[in-house]
Amino acid sequence: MLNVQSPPLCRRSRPAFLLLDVLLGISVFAIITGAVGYGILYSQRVSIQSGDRMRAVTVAANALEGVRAIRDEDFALLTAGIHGVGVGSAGRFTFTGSGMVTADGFRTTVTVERPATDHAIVTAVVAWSFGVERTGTAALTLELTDWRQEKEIGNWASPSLDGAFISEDPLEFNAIAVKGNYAFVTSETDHGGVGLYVFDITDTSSPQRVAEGFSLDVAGRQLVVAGTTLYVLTASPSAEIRVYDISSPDTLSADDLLGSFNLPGEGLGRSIALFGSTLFVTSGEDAIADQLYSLSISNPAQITLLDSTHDDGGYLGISLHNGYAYIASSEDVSELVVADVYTPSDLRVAAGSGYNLTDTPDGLAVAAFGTSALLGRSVGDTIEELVLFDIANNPVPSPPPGPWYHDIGGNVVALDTDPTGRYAFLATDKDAKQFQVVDLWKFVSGLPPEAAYKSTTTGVGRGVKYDILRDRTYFTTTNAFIIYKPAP
Amino acid sequence: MMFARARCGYVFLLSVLFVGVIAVAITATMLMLGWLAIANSQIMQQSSKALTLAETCAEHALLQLYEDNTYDGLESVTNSDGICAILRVGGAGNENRTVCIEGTSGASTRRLEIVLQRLLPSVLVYSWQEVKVFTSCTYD
Repeated sequence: MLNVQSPPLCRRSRPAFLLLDVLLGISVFAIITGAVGYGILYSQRVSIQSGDRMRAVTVAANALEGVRAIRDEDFALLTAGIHGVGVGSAGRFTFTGSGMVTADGFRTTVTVERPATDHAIVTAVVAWSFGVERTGTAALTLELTDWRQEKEIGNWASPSLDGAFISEDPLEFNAIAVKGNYAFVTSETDHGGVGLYVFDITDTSSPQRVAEGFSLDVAGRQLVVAGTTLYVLTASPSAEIRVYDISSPDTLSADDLLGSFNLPGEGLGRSIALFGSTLFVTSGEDAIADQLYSLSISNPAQITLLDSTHDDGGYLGISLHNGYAYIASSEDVSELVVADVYTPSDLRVAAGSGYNLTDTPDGLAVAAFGTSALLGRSVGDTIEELVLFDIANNPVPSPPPGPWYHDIGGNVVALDTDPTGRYAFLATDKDAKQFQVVDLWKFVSGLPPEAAYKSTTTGVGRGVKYDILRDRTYFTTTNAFIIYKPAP
Repeated sequence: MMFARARCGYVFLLSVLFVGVIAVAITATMLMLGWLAIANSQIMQQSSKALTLAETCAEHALLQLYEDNTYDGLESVTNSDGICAILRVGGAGNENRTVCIEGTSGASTRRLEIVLQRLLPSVLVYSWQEVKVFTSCTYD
């Protein structure tokens, strides 16, 4: 029997259906394949383009690094113009031609503009062209300044008078702070002084008093500047710290008062120092009131107390160094006190506490710098009034080495050092040696350290401040604000 | 089998559609990767600009401090690439100063924390590092 198998239903009843399905399938497949292909090609293309851009940015950053290296060598080498940057024969970065092309085809040009002698604007532009869809540019702009210069210090073994403001009245000038072209000088008020004077020191040979209408109305002791804010420690019994806006020193007035702070006790404040947003203030001897205060000046108009500590002696001078406060004290058994002020809200005496010097003359002034601390004392018959400590290995002096002593012959009322630690400048009440310069390098070598001294007929030395920007030392006496300059 | 007999053309079509779904997923992934590659390059460029801006402000701050150790920062510099801000300069006087800088370009922010051993007679940098979070400075 013939067994004939029936054809599938689709072929039997709808003969064109399979073909249509296949055609439809092929069409859909083609569309999908095209989309996938386009996706792959697009992805590849943008990946390559992105890679080009990343590479260009890296090349631009490298070019700026090269320019920075050239600046590090000498700022004057940053000549205005369009340059290439490459490594020269000496193995150092140098400007080469008007552009550089990397091995993979990225062209870099560096444009240097010099809007000021200490300022350069550097723009690195990287361009690439690897076909119709692979072209572009990337640019980075960097501003460089000449902060790597070095100030030179003159020969202070031979100082001379540069300029002075001399009053007929014994105004009793005190401490000095400098901001820009202005010097702020405190004074007593017993003999007609106004407490705070402002001098324009644009021309140091002729300091000019400005803001003549201003009066502190109370004696000013020490002062510090932060930005455009001046903190003055006064003898006021109820507002020892006064805060002024000194944005316009020429027109300083009572209206510029931002705020004040009342220390415990009445007019006990003796010295002041600033670190960041913390103001450290010391007080004279008092049975009740503390001697060291840390104050928050995050808002200068609203000073708040962070912490305070008490001691038996008065704290007459302060200098901050490496998280420690070096304090000149009237305490007979510790003329130098060292306090750990790293955490201003938790003041504590450093381990070892300080240093007890021979006899009882007070510590009056102190400066800590580098690996040394310099202490000035009140005059004594059997002591040497200037003492240099080594603090290289321990924040609290633990000789040897040192300490080293130098006889001043009078009270060391104030002192300051140059930032290199070469010279110390002293304000003393020693006759004919009111201003003294001490060579600290000789001091630590055991040699006689006196480098120079100046005599003045304007009274005893009361304050001193070294200004390295001008290489000048400001010195105050009973009647004068004096500016000394070194030999060239 | 009734299904195979009656709808045999659909096997091919369904297979194509199945493969098509996978292919579309692959395509979408490839497109996404491409888009991410573009975004990455833009982010990298913005990031480089942010760092360059931060370095610009650092240069500005260091010169200001060198010329005036009472400079307290709290200013910003703007150019076509973005903005950089100098936070309050830490410390006081000639030694142990801290400078914190934040450069921003687009959505990218880079931060520099610079510790200066001293300012004069020449600026001596103790450390100069890029940080994720400032540890030596606070925002005022």
